[in-house]
Amino acid sequence: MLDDFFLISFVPILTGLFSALSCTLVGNILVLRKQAMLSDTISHVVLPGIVTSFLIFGNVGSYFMLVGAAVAGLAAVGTIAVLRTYTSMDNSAAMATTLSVFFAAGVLMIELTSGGNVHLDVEHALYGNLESLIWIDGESLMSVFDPVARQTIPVELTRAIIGFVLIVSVMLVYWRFLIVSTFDQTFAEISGVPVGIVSAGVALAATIAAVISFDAVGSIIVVAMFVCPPAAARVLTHSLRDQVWLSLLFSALSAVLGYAVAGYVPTLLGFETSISAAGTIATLSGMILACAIFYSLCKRSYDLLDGH
Amino acid sequence: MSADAISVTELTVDYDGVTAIEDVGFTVSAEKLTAIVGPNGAGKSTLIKALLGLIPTRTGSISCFGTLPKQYRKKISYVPQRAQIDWEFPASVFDVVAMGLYSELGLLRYFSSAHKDRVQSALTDVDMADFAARQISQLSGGQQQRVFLARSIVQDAELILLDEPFGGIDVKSEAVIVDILRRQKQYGKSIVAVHHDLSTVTDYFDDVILLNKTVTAFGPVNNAFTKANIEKTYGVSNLDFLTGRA
Repeated sequence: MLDDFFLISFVPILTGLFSALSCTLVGNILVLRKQAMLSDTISHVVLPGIVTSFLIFGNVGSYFMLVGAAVAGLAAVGTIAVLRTYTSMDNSAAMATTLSVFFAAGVLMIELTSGGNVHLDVEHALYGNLESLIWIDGESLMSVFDPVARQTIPVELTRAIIGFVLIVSVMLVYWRFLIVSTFDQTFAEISGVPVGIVSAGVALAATIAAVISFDAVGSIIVVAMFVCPPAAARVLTHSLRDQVWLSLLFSALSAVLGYAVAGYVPTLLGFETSISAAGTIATLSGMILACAIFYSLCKRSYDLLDGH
Repeated sequence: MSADAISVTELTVDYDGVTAIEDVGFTVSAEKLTAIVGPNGAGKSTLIKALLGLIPTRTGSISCFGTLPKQYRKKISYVPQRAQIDWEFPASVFDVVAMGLYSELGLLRYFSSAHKDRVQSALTDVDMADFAARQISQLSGGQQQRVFLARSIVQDAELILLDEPFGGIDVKSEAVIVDILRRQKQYGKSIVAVHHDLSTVTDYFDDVILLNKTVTAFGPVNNAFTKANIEKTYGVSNLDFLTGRA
């Protein structure tokens, strides 16, 4: 069963892992800023951006896709800001309308382009396609150090790693600004923190995380990786540092275990086909959240009984 | 040093398309405790935001220690209303006070042991030194307010601007905070606070600014905080409630 691990599973696991970690890192900030819905919005609105850059450049794997998605993401954030400023809509209504209209436009655009040899289909966009990331020259761990074999590593993995490194470094550099403007925006503004740029930066980071995860886990399920691991960590600790580390642990667990469960468990149980890795990863993250909530509730009632 | 901490002339500010304060003029003396007092909707918060340079002004000028807004931001520290803050935020008391040093530290400057000492000494100033590691969600209202005061003290600003520092806290904590503010005054700080409780104005503050869209009176409490001026500001003639806690 593990003979073809590097051919079939190595790249999908790593791609899923780095995608999940990127989303979770940004998700920690979104949850603290009470903007978790933003991840939902962005992961949906990048669809028309990706389709547009596909229409212009004719290649779904290109880095132009990232640019298209980033433009769409920021356009959506701008739309939300306009709706909130010039209408009586509140934040959630502005996000919900923007999300659905942008996404619907993306679906229509995919359908309009679906003649000919177009590889972009709705199902792929929604559910991701982790299982398709086959590494043709992947034979063993040594292949990683073989420059020839390395050339056939799917670009999705490279993109996921670059995105992850980018998000980690930007967050480390801007950590103080992120935290102070999230905790107390007025104070941050007076302290000279460019709060507007920080907000836009958070939206941009969410866009990047959503786009690199787009192929891996799909535009809808990616939301789970933004919200579930940070939310689970949030109910377990009052320390920000612990929250971030715990959420990354939960995220990695979901990504790796989710892929393994999806790929191997159905076959072990005697089923003919495996189940969707993306769906399993997201479901697992939800189960971890449920366990975390259950644990914290039990702990609280135990503390109460114990007289703490 | 100029004797005026703040000097405001003919200030008019629109907020949400409505004229919130109009033709406001006053001075705040340095090294005094000054209260901004007025009914709900009098424009107190707008005035604070304008003083902090957070919102555009229509007409008039503001200066702080002789300089214009933007330039004087480093001279002012601000203590927001407790209700504006999410106290479930995962941070310790130390973390919050350390935020007061962020504008000085910028993004990447190392947080040294000297900085740590400054945070600790600010916490000592507000009698919260033993609470450094405590999560902010586990503090009482008065303790939360003292943490914010420490954050303001660590900034070492000349002027401390507080938005309702006694909102929703008990009498005992209120007395502790007044003590801290008086001590800061002795260290040479100027303190301006939005204040709601008319019955304590004369006890707590040196000076007062009475505001209702425009300034009806300002100056030392003995001269400015008179029955006539209060009636003019609040538009009521029955001020018996002044004898109790409003």
